[in-house]
Amino acid sequence: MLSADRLRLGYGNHVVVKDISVSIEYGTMNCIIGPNGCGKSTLLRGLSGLLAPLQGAITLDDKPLNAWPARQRAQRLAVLLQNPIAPDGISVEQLVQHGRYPHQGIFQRPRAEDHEAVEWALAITGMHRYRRRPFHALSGGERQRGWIALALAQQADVLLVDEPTTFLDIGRQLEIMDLLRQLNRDHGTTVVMVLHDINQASRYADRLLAMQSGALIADGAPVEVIHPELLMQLFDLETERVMRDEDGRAYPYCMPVRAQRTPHHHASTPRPVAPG
Amino acid sequence: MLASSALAPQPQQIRTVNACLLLLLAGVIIVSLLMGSASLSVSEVVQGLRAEQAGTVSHDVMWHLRLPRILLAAIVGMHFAIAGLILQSVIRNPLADPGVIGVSSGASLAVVAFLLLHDLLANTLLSSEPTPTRLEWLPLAALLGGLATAALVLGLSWGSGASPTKLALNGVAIGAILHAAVMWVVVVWGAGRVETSLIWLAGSLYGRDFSHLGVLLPWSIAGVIGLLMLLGPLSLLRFNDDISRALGLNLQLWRLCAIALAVVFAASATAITGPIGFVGLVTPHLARLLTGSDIRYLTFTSLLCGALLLLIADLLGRTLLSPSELPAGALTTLVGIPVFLLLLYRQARGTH
Repeated sequence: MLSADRLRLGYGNHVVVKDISVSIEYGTMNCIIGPNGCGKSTLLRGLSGLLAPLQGAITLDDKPLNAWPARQRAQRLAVLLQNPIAPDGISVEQLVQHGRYPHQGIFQRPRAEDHEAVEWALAITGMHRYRRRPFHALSGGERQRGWIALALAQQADVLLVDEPTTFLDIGRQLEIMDLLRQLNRDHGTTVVMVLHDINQASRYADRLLAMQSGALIADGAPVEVIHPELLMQLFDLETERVMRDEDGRAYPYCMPVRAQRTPHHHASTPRPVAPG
Repeated sequence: MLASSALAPQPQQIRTVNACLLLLLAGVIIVSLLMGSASLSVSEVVQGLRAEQAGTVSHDVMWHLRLPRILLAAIVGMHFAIAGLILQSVIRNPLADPGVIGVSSGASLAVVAFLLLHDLLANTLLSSEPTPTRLEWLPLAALLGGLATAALVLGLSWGSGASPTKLALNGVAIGAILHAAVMWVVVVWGAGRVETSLIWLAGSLYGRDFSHLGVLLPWSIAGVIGLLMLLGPLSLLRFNDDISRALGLNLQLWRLCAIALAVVFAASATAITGPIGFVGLVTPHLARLLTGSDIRYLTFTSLLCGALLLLIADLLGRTLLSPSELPAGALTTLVGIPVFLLLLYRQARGTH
């Protein structure tokens, strides 16, 4: 179990995540939602061990995350944050091979299990067709699947992803979401992701964590969390909620109606008063 | 761009490329043995290489001039190539090179200061007898100068996330200042050493023998062992910080180790031959075009290309205007500057 206990995160004096306690159960799909600047990416960064807590603690299997040796942590947690950069001229296969770093020792040549893990990651993401292609020449959706393949080659049981569908067209977005769900269902991968699209979050996640101004304001199954009142509070957005059904699983779907201009809801991001 | 359209080369192709490079290297070495200001026939060269010919002119030319010089050119070329490859990987900057980030100038200043201080102390304090300069101390002095300069340039540029352009600008600026300081030191206190110092500063293999090789070789061996330990982390350092840390890399530690290793390679070579510019800049790009971006292949091919580049530069330098000599560093700079400008231009357009 990956747990945060009264977690406070920030940069210097600037506190972004304020005393959040949450436990992520193994084998579940979790999604952090909230408006821009609410601290959801920072929370994910904290949970992944890349940002040390200002206060509070994060534990992985009851051991503080920062007490885990970095490579052992990387064998358990795979992390894909925004705007990753790949080396010039690298091929897809070479990129994915780097996912084996936490499993390899210095001087050690790749073993059979390393090759198997890379092949598996390439196959499940559909990237085996592009293995020899230069990574930089791929489309946005292909690149994103390449990055996911890199994370999968780590063979970690928890996958933390920050906005995996940003900059992708709607078809490629669903491809990525389906891939994450497949990993969760078929391989038991625990997924914690940050999503902007509420309806995708509702459709794919078992559990939603809604954040506002650095605090957790709602936590539960989509059917409990997604309500017009919450969306009004989070996004100043008037919505209509309908229930949809997919393979026997009911989830709420919200159609945006109109945006409300109520500045006081954005306490964390003061904006100048617009004329009119 | 070639790499964006073509498929990444397969191991079989890479092996072929490396085999060709090895053949080319052998060819250049043979030509280098045959050519020089002392004109020797092929049979004289072969005779001269044999040990029982000791005392003959051809034996002297081979064993005291050409052979050590060729070996040294190859090894120094490798040093600068690997220094460039490491710096480009760590700083994630295609323009990085020991010359561009000022390390060569820092090392030069330290070497010149060391030599002159040594002269001064030997002449005034210790004895009236001239003491031979302790050659083996030079790489250490160069190392200190190189590390200090690297720390200064990186410190000045790191605030902005070591953006490529800023780093190159700071490096070139600091390098120019240090270079001016070197000139000043040499001219003001150099006395009888001005001429040799200037030739050394241009980056030259003139008059290097096996004693120089013996001084450099321990650093080469230590460097290669360090490099082998560093390959995995180095490959990861080429990604952005989030990726490499997420994969369990101790970023601070390995980044420091890698930069220190690059300085070791560059400074020890600088101590022996003077700063030879742009081999470190050009070689990794050449190697990447030939064998792609897998760090192991890239390293091996960079070693071969670095040796080749400097061997060819030195061969041209000592044959073009024979019996006069162009310093190899002048020729590598001649090739390197256009490549540098091309890379800068491509980066400014954001199409790297």
